[in-house]
Amino acid sequence: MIDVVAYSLAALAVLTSLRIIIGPTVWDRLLGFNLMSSKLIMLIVICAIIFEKNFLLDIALTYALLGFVSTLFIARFVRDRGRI
Amino acid sequence: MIRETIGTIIICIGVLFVAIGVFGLFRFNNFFDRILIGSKIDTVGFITICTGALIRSGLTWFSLKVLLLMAVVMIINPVITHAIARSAYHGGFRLKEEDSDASGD
Repeated sequence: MIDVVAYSLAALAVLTSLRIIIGPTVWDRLLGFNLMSSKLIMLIVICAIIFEKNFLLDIALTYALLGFVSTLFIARFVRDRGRI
Repeated sequence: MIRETIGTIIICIGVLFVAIGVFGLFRFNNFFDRILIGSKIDTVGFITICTGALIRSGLTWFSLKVLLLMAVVMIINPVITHAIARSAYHGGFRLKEEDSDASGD
């Protein structure tokens, strides 16, 4: 039962990455990237439940923090039109 | 055994929330509608999935780490959404441009 949840989350991540491809503006692509990384964090939590390993949750925490910093600074970079 | 069944049912409800969010991501034509629907439903789905994992695993180190991850994501996810919407608003993106594009709907 929990395997079906993992497969459906992977399919939803692929569907969300379509928004990165067809997004009209750069902020749509940024939103698609944010939502897709959030779904990948959920998938890592489900994998940690399936394999019963604790260190996968540390990987999920690191991935969340790195995605936060990168998305925040890409948003500032786009808003200031390339001036850092 | 009954705890695992309840946890799995709650995780399935969370995946249903995420699926509704992905449907709303392709349903709307405005950027600001999309960012509202996608981000809000995604946060709700994450909280529900982590609650299911907490119920499923009982009171161990695993559930403590899941609780820490849930607290971090509950702070981070609205901040990222606000940063993207603020970047779009101050970067010169207005609603009228996209309404004229999507006049067919």
